[in-house]
Amino acid sequence: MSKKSVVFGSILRKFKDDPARFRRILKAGMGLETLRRKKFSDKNRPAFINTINHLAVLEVFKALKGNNVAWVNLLAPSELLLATGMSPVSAEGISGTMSSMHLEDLPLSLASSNGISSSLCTFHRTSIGTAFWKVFPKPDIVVTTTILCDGNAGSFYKIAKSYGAPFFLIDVPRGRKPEYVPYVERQLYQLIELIEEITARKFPFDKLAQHLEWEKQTVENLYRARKLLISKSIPMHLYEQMNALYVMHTLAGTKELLTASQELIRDLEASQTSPDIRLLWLHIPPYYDNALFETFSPTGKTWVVTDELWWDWLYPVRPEDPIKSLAEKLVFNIEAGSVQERGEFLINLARELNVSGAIHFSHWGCRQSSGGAGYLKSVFSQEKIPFLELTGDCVDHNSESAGQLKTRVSAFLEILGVKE
Amino acid sequence: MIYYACSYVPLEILLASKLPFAKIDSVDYTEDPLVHRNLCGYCKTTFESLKAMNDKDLFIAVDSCDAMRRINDLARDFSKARIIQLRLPWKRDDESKNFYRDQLANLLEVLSLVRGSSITLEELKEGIKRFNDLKDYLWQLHRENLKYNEIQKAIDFANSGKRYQPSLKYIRKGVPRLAVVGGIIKDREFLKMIEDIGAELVLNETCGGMRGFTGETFSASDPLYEIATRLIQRRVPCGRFVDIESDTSPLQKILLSQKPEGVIKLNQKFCDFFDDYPVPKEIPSISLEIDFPLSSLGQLSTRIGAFVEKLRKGIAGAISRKSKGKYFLGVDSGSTTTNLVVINDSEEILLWKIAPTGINGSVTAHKLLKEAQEEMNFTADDIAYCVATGYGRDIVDFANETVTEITCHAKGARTLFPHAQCIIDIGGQDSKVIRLDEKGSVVDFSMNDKCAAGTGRFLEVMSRVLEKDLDAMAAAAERARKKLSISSMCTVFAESEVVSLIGKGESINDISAGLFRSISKRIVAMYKRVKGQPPVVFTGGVARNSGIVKTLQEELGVKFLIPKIPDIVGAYGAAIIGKEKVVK
Repeated sequence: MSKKSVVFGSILRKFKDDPARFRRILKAGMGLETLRRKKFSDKNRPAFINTINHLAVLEVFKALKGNNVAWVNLLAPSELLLATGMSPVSAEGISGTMSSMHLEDLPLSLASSNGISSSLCTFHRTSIGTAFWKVFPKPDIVVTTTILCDGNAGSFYKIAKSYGAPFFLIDVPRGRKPEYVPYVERQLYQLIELIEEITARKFPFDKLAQHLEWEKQTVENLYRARKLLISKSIPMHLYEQMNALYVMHTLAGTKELLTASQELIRDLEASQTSPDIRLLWLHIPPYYDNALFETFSPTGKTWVVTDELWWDWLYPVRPEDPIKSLAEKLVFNIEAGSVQERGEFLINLARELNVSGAIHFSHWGCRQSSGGAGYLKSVFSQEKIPFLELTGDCVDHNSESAGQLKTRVSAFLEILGVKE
Repeated sequence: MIYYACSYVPLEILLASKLPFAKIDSVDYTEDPLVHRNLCGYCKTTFESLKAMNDKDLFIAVDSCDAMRRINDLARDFSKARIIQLRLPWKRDDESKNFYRDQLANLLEVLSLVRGSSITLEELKEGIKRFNDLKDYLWQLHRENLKYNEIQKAIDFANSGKRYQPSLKYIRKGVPRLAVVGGIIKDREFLKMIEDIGAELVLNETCGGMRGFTGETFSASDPLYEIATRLIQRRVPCGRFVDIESDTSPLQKILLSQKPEGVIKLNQKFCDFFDDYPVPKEIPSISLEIDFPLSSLGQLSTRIGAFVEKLRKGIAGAISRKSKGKYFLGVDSGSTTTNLVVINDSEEILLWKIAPTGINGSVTAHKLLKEAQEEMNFTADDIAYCVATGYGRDIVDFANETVTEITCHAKGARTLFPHAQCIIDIGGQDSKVIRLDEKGSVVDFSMNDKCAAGTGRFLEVMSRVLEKDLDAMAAAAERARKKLSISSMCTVFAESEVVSLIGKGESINDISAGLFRSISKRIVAMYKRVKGQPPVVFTGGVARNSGIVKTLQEELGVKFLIPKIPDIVGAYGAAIIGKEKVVK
């Protein structure tokens, strides 16, 4: 993320061969950073931003401390884990942390020397390598869904296996059909059984209901925020889009995210400034400090107002019918559908939020996103919404394209009428 | 016509329908802006075929992976064919089996509509029988040890539900038996290459081969349930499934029954499902990254050739001929230089020569031979044996035999340094790391992909950009103060990165050091992949560059053993292999 993380990373690198020591120093650093973001956040920034930035680092910090930790993918039903007091951490977040410190090459090379295919998504490869490295303590469980992407099953399985941790895969069929709900629902009950076995306690359905109640309110708030986003926006760094989307997915149903959603509404209502150009980001942005961070910064003329993945997961869960509604949430996720459905969803979002254009970042190894980029470009151009497709790597700052991104983005912005 | 691309399409049901059907067999595609360049070639060829279909066609789409899923999505808008979608579960438990049964029921309904009458229970049972007969027939051909190109033809026919009468050609006896597993392959050139190497393919397990023809389907009251059970639980699973490691996997049984001496594990580019595809531990295996359709057979043949040599414990010991000649020649026809070494009975190097390979490697090899003969005053009769190695080994027409550079480097380095455990060779256009066992046999090796990253060419290009020769670059790197990071390992991108660093005013010293680190990173990953350990011999022309030696030693924490003339180790090894072939 920031230059500070990179400096910290360069110090940490010296201890790469001593995972225990590496963990101690990383823990100290992240502990301080978590505290700073909680107690000494920048009061001039929107409260929502401060909260999600804090939650993002806290999530990884908890995983580093160990104890009741679940490694999950973005769409794993964290609600089930949170209800039992477990802390979910997204493996993507762990990779992002490594990347923000420019340390992702270490787990990547570890993955590579263990024969992991180099065309696998770098989020996955970095998290697998980090698991091999044992910088993070063993999680109590590893849970993944088969959506958003097909790399999840194999990657999370490898992570679980390397730790000897229990693994659970939730198969969510593509196609968003109601008849798939019972299939997913039955798997969620199997997961609950596994959680009961691990925690040696009856599953607390009452707590789950409470979490779903909070989630219901969060979702309502985010829809309200979406209305406000039509005319307003808050200044965000590009990496904060990433923090937001991964906190929203993995901490859905927490009190903290509910608070963040309330803050977002207040921030938007109070917002006085607006950029010259408002953009929509599709898929995810790169996480390491890169040239795009300068282009899309709170002080710049162009803001990315939101990311596609703020909105895919919103589902009116029902505390009175928790498991079925969680199954529905997965089955009906827009990203579990066809590229045509995704296109329609995105065109609506772009039109509704009145953005000047959209940038699709085709991340290395992500076939579900890049496989749809050509189609999305064609529908966006039919709708006369400027569209830029960038191909690059969100994690590996050494990737071949990192240096090339800026030129393409600058040209795109020139087309939109932004003058340097 | 009904088309499909995935082996999870139930042929039992297609046969029951009595409708004509075919597996997409195209290997051609043009780049389509709708299909992202980072998708695998198999998806691209499938999409190409889909675009060519007409409105009478039906395509049975399986969302076996995200790339295929997107191709299927696109087909809805960009193919005239009707599309029916099968959702393939990601698990193999009973719940998943039931789920897939429902998918099959849907397919059955669609096919009934297509042909205008319901497919009856009896027809389904008949379909199962016909499928089982086809499958048994294919396995029978395997048991009869027919040439694999004939079996492959029979598989291709069976994919359309037809039986092929093969010509009765049999595989050669006494040559290494190989199996391919993992990512799809069905290319005839691949089969030919295996044969040219001197081995025989005895099983193509991939989904371009027999994988779809595994697992039993029994006749039962609910045939759909039976078929779903075969596909989800009994057949050899695709690498996309994660729970396939157990020793009871049908893949293990099949491999053991075909008795291959070695297994080639294929990883398709842009497909990540096969990197830990389970192979019985008792069978040696090699992992290769391939494209679909296949390109660059040259590198593949070196790797598979070296693997075969490894299976046969190198070439040593296989005494093959008598000769009165007193000299043994090794010729290493590399991409950048051609090297020739002449040795005597005591393995002493009597003469060595290096020349740029140029555009005609054969002419260069002849020129070196002629020079050697003139200088040492010997004729063709004095040559007891000549072994050619290197990328151009097949064009050295005066050689008695060809051996891959992997085996030759191992032999050469081990002779020079009897305790060597590992060899790093960086040549003009490829680099490799070879691990040896106590006896000096190759245990494992890793070669760079088909690009110049991590090779001599990378350094050459950079030396041109910096306008400094390689020695000057090494000297400059010694004076580096700042730890600059050249992030790109790709030669083309690194070049532009270096240009921009120069533009920013970074010193040549720091850039040079950064470049050496960049190339080292690549080699270190290969070293780790083969689990290299010291003592390490560093060979190849690049080993003469102090800059790379120093950086690589630091990165690995190892002190290298470097031969006096590191360029000729491959040729020297080839000459020694030649010497071991001959009895006086």
